[in-house]
Amino acid sequence: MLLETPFHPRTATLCHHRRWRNWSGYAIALGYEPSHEYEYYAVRSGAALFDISPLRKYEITGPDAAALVDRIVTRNVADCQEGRVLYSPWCDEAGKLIDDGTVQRLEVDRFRVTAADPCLRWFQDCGLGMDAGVRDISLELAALAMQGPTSRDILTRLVTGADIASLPYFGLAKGAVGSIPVTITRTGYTGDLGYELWVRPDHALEFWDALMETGRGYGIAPAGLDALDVTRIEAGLLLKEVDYVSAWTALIESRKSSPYEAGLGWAVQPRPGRDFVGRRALEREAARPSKWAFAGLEVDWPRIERRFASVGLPPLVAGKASREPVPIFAAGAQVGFVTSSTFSPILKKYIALATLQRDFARPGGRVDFELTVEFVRHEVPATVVETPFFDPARKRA
Amino acid sequence: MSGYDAVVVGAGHNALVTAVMLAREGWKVLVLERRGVVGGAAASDELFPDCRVNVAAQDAGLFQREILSELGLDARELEWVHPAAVATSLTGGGEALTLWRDPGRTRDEIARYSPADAQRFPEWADYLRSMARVLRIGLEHPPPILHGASARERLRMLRLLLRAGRFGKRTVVELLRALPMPARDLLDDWFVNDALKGMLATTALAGARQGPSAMGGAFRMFYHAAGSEACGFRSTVFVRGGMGVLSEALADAARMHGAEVRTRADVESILVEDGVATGVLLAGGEEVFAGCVVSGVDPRRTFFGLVGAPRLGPEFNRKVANIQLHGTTAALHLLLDGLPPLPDAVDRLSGRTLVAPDLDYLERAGDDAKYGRCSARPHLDMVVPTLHNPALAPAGRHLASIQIRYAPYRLRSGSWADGATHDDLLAGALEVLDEFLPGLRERIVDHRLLTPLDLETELGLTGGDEYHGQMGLDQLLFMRPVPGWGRYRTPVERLFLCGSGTHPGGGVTGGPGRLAAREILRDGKRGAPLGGRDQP
Repeated sequence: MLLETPFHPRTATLCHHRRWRNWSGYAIALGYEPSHEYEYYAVRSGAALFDISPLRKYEITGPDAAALVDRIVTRNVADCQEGRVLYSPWCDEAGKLIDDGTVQRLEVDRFRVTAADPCLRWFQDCGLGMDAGVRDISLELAALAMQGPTSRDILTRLVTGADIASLPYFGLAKGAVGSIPVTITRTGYTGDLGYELWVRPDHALEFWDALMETGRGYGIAPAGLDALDVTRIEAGLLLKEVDYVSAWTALIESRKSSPYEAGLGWAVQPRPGRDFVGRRALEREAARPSKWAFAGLEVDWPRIERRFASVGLPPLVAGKASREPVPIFAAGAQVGFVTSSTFSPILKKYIALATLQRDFARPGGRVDFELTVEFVRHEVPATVVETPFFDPARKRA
Repeated sequence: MSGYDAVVVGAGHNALVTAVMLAREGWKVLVLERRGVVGGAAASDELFPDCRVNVAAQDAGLFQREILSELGLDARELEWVHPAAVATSLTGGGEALTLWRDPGRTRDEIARYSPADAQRFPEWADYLRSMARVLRIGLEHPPPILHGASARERLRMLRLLLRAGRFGKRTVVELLRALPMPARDLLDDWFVNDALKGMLATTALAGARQGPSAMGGAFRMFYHAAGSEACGFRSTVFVRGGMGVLSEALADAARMHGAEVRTRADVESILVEDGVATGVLLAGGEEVFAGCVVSGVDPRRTFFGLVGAPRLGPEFNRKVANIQLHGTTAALHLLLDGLPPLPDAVDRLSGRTLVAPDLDYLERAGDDAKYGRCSARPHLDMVVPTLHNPALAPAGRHLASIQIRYAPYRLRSGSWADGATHDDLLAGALEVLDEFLPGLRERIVDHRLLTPLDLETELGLTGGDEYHGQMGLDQLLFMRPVPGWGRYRTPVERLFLCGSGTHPGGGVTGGPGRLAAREILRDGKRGAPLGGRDQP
């Protein structure tokens, strides 16, 4: 039996197809319409509303709160002032990825950390001997992501007590919608202009209604995980257990990834005197890089079409994002694998997130993507490119 | 830089063994002890005027004698006392059952209770000795490395297994069968008499918080018989002059080899720079730098108290937080103006004197502890050291040191800081003592009760656990002090452990100190410039 989020009475009414995915034990719509196309375009040209309540949320408070968060995550929390948000992964002592999420600094001594999976005990273990408390507040906060070019206009009209127009990328503000207190972070998982909105569960339905009502003139649409998957791949954002395997769930050592191997090397931010979990292992890895690296791929779309056309089929891979691992070759030898791939409707390209041997992961490199058409395996050329694939100026503006 | 090669934190007997072994190799060693006397839990202190009282440990029967010859200590004034009685069980009504060092006398004694058991006892004594002999192979060598063992390590393991095999396959298999057994089951296999079984089971209780029906009891019985001259019971040997004499002899040996031993030097923290131990900070603010730091302090206090959890990884910290540290005994020291009117008191009380009339008595005492209470009727374990060392107390006076079991460190209700808890424990123990050894109470001139909390605050034993971690099957060998760190090294480079919290474990054995020193010396030889002498 799947759990219902605080928004479920609304999402259940709208989700005619009853296509739900189990996200951390909650029923979350894969899509509200037969195809996710409309929802996808809501993200890129209107505003899409995602129920992201299943995220795990932790509150870290106390005199050592900043020191504790700084110990947990790989990014430098000294750079995260009050009213700012950081995206960061966190690692085990061996420098392997455990999970990733956002760190919101609500007050000098008060943080909120989101995670894909439960991390309470880990955070508490990290805080042994420190004057900071960690509390699981997953059930105390309902969350929506409103993503898309018109999201700012909707919130500007709706929110009082916070200057939405000037809220910077990865900024945080506290305001209200009517009488409902809301925390607004300019964050998201789509690579577009967008916000994540955090409210108390008992306000959830009233809050949803207010957003949908005001959003009507701005092309708002409730959206599901199928659309989210396409947009997050376009934005080059990783999905835990798909693009990397958590050190906690990996059955064998080689399945684990370091931030460097997952393209998150930029998020490893040592500073003198800073001792975060995994630091020593990551220092060693920085000095002697792993043979694996993260890469974005653009697969030759006309060649894909031709492969399908040759057996009389349309390009069947265009339907939705794929989480199937796919081998990548170079000169006939396997040099890595794709972890997520999708046809990008806005770029009109077939794009993929991949883990490749470092030598093959440099932008401009040419590799071959395995494509199975009618039970026959083929190789289709692909080019290594920088991510994000889609990076509109409005995301940061 | 003061340029010590090694600074040793604490002057417990294991720390001193390590210090001597390092100093002998020419290392410049400094030992820092918080208290005014050396020895830690194996110290003698003046608890009563003009008396030398063995504060916690009473008995050096487990001490690995080879250490003394290794350290060249034989010639010193260490004199071992082998009391005529190994142990006497007070069975109630002024009756007593004594196991004598002389097997014939023991057989006669047991025959008064059970002729069948008397017949079996010599065989049991042999059995215990043979089990202990095989076990000793494990205790006298570093624990195995299970993951990623080198060829050399595999060869070492193979050699040890072959050595064990020399005792015969049947013996080894029997050891494996018996190790996890409860003391009760093992003793039921052997004997019928309740008094005898109760008495023998007491050796399974030390180092655990459970009663005789708990798994792993047989292991502890064998462990406590792994010392010298076990006669069907735990190895019981005293040191003339008190336990402090052994510790002082070790301290003297360290000094002789050039080590400094400073008492009243309270180490406040271990200095760690970038994951490497560089020295220690004393309470007065003095910093002492050294090539490596060796801690004889229990693992949790070392890591959480001296290093600080935030300097260690969360995975490691979780393991340290989960070390089973449970103090379950209180120490009651009595100053007496004479012996109780027990027939042959001088002989019968010369070993360990026990209140453990049967297995159920012990089990019930343990049940109380299980629920966070002091035993309504505790098991008592008494030593009267003045019987073989009259000089320990003024003329005409005797000392009696009694372990009261169970007095759990963590109480369900009440607190050790509360005087009433202390008084209740004392009253309960004296009442039992009066019942089993009538007349002793009238001889008490003075007393001093050390609760588990006192053991923690005075001796630095976390949770009042004298073993620095329970001697359960889950905290042995490579799992001691925590899995993955069984070789005296720690996640902090150049910080080593050498106390009872490491393999082979607690009790006055010297084993951890000896094995730790070997590993430290090996690291030093391997070219890691552990020695401060390479520094300016």
